[in-house]
Amino acid sequence: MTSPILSVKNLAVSFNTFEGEAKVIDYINLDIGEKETVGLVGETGCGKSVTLKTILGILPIPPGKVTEGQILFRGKDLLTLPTKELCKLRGREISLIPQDPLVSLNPVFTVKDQFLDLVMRQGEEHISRINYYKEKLNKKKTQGAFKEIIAMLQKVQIPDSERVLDYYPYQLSGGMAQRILIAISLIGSPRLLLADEPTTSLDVTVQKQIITLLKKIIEDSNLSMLYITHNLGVTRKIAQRVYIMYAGQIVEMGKVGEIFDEPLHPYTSGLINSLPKITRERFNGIDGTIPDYVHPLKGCRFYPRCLFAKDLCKSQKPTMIEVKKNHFVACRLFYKGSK
Amino acid sequence: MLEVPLLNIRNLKVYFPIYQGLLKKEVGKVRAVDNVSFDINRGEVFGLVGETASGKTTVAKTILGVVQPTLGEIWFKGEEISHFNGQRRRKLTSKMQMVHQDTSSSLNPRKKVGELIKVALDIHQIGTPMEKQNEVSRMLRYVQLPPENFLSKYPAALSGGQKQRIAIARALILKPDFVVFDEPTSALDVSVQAKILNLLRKLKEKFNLTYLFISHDLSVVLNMSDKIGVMYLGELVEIGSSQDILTKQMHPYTQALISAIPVVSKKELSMLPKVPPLKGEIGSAINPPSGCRFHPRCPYAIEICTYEKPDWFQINEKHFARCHMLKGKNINFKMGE
Repeated sequence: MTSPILSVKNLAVSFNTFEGEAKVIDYINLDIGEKETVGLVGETGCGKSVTLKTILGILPIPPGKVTEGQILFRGKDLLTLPTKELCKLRGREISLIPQDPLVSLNPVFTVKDQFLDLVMRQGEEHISRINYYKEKLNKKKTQGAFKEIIAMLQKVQIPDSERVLDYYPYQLSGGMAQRILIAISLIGSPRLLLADEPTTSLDVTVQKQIITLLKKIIEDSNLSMLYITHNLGVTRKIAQRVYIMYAGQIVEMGKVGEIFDEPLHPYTSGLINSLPKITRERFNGIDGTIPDYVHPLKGCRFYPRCLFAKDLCKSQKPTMIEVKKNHFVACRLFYKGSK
Repeated sequence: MLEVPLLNIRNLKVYFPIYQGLLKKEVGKVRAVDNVSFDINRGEVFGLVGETASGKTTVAKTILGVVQPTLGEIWFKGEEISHFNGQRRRKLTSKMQMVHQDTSSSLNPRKKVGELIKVALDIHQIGTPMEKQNEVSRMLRYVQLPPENFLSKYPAALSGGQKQRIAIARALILKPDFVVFDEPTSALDVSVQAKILNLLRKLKEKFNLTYLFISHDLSVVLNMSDKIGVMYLGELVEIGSSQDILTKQMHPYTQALISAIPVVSKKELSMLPKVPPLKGEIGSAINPPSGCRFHPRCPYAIEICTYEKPDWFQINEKHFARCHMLKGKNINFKMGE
């Protein structure tokens, strides 16, 4: 693997809640290589979005709190970087494709306006109001910006892009809104995209279109991407490597094909067994629910739902071990000498 | 004697008028459901798939009498029921029930689980208070929730899967013959979804039920149903047994839908038909495209598709599709290599 563009090291995040401290992210490690698409897969409430927010520095603190760890983006630790520097990175180096397309666009602005400030102002921390309006009313500058926006809309394959510029979000269909969000995230020509379930609310046919589009954009401009989703099939289509997350812990990591065809961790295989398949095989769910974060187990958090659990799993957290080349799993079942 | 289907839908049309202006003049119609016909036999699971806004839920609501059909007939156990109201409709509803899409908004947040399930018995005046209580507990046990823990909980204290189980218990307490499931698992995680789907299968055997199963997730429908109807923009485009729909699908839309299923294993990947991706998105039901409604997105569209509505073509005993390409069968759609 080439040197990673982003590497999350030993990250732990907790939240102060009424019941006590909820230790949501439990010392995770995650690497994204240059020109690599990495999937982060897990069920609702397992901490995928919290990880993403911590990377972007938009985790609400308090109640959130990063207790330990580093997030290195090209060698710079994002957690200790001053806000001014972070603003320069966000959107221009690291960019987010949010989850719900129609909610993520501001309903009272036209598509054009959603873009305009970004094109003219991205990376600045503070703008004086006078300068802001001065530039906004400067026809020459805005015309240039519009050209840039239209080019970007064409890149995400929006038909009739000049007319779409004057649309309000309610006039857009789900697929179109998602394309616009992708365009917004690409306008600062970032190197790393963070995609937070961008296709969950879309129909399968549109989902396929969006994934094909994202793949093309990533290949054309050599981007890296962290793709967060609960949909295993989508991950297989888009990512090269995948991390499986359960209750704030990374349980398995490896190449997409390897993990989905020969899963090792009991959670991963349980998840894959739960999927209704078109081969019409039997599918079983996993009993139980995601554990309580306020009083988590000291050991493996999957212990209460695991079919192969042993006593030791309860008290000692398993470490990631390399079972095959580039295929890591955090489970005692695969420790040497244990069967 | 020939077996009469439990439910029989003939040329169902549901149009919603659009009013505009001060005088509320009718300016157009949303053709939500247009000429849909299908049968559901006793003990069968009929799956209805299609994209958002293809009219799946409207069909279900019309069957249950929530929406009045504009035209067409709905036969249930040999009776035409679309005009039923009052007493007769009430009697009928105990035989047809529905499990709604979004459980967090279809369960009253201010009622306890016990009351939520009991309310159907109250409305239909079945049993004494004691019997009602027992029946509720029995139902909860069927959906694998221990009544002693759940009877006095509020919906807010339940997880998504538990709420869905409550909704199922509520629908089944009147001992219906026919249950509509409208995207019962779309809001759930896969590990919970699998549990719920397996529960539905078990309950179907136990209570001898007939299901209409609506979902946009084809992999779920393919697994749950015996027969599948594919809807596009208010019209049925293909009907067949789920095996036929999966392996011998004829309509280009069905092919596109199946090829877009995000599958996980290698074996499944090889089963998907290799077809070009669809252009654009589902159109508007206010001004549906002329001819075949699918033609603006169809990769195989020819001139005739733009002005003439295709007829149904029969492929085998139970498999029908509606596409001009099937005329004379001069073009064979290629299945995956």
